Amino acid sequence: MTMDCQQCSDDLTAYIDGELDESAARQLKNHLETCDPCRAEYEELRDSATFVSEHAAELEPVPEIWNNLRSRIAELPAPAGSSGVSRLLVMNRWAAMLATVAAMVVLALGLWGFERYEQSRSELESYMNEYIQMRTAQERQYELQMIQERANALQNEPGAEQTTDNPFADMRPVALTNPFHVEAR
Amino acid sequence: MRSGDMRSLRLAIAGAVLGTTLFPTMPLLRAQTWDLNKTRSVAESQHEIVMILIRKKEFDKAAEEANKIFKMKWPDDQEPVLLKELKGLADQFHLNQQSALAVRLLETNISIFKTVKSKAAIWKEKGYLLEKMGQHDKALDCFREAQRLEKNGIHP
Repeated sequence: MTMDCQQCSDDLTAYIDGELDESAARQLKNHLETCDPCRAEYEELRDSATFVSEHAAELEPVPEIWNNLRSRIAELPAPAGSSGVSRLLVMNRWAAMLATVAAMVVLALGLWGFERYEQSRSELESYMNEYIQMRTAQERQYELQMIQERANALQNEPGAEQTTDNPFADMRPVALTNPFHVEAR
Repeated sequence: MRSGDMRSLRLAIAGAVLGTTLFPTMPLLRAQTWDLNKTRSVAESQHEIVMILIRKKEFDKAAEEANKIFKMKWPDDQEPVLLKELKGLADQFHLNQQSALAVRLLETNISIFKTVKSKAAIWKEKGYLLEKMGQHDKALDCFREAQRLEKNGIHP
């Protein structure tokens, strides 16, 4: 089976690098012996490869190349699914740590404040309940007193209609209890 | 001059000096006492008017008349009596199912009280009435204010 020039051209690089199997390499070698243009191309490629392998160590990229490369990377659009905040956190570990600490402080303060609020509310509730219990007892006593007064009134007992809830009445100075003084008023 | 006469003369001079010093203030003291007695007397009558109006179920009118007691000019030392009156009248309204009027009476007249003790007592009474009216949060606010006053002794 003979090889055409196109196939030879395609396999030349692999041949130079020693990547072709034995049969293919033999066919290509036979073709190169009979075809001048392909042989010329082969020699050109072989010389280039030799040059690169001999001088590769001397080829150091200049800083401008790296700068150019970086600016091009920066101009590329961000991959889908990565938000600004997450990128920032990934890029800056300190920022992520600070954010975590701040969140913990806020949480701790919130819990402390809530506990204090609950404590003061509980104190307030007991303060309130104490007064309400006292007043409720007073109210019941007053109601019982009123019932008693009504019962007395029904029995026409003397003094049943007297009211004792006027604070001005029982605090009058002795002088005002004088009947003449009352008349003068 | 005998020693007994000398003593009598000294006493007479001392009496004259004392009399001259105190005499100008006597009418003032008398007038103040009389004014207070008059005020108390008017307040006593006013109280009875309020009680009659409450018994007649004329609550709005009773509240108006009650306010008049606290609008009168009272000396500072009468604050305990006025506090007793304010709480007593508010209680009367409350016992007659007029708790809203009782609360308003307390709110209207709290400003005449100067001591922290009286103010705290009024806030507590208002809180009690609001609690009985089912307004728990407002009642708590009142008790919080009373507690603050009692703890810190702050005049609002």
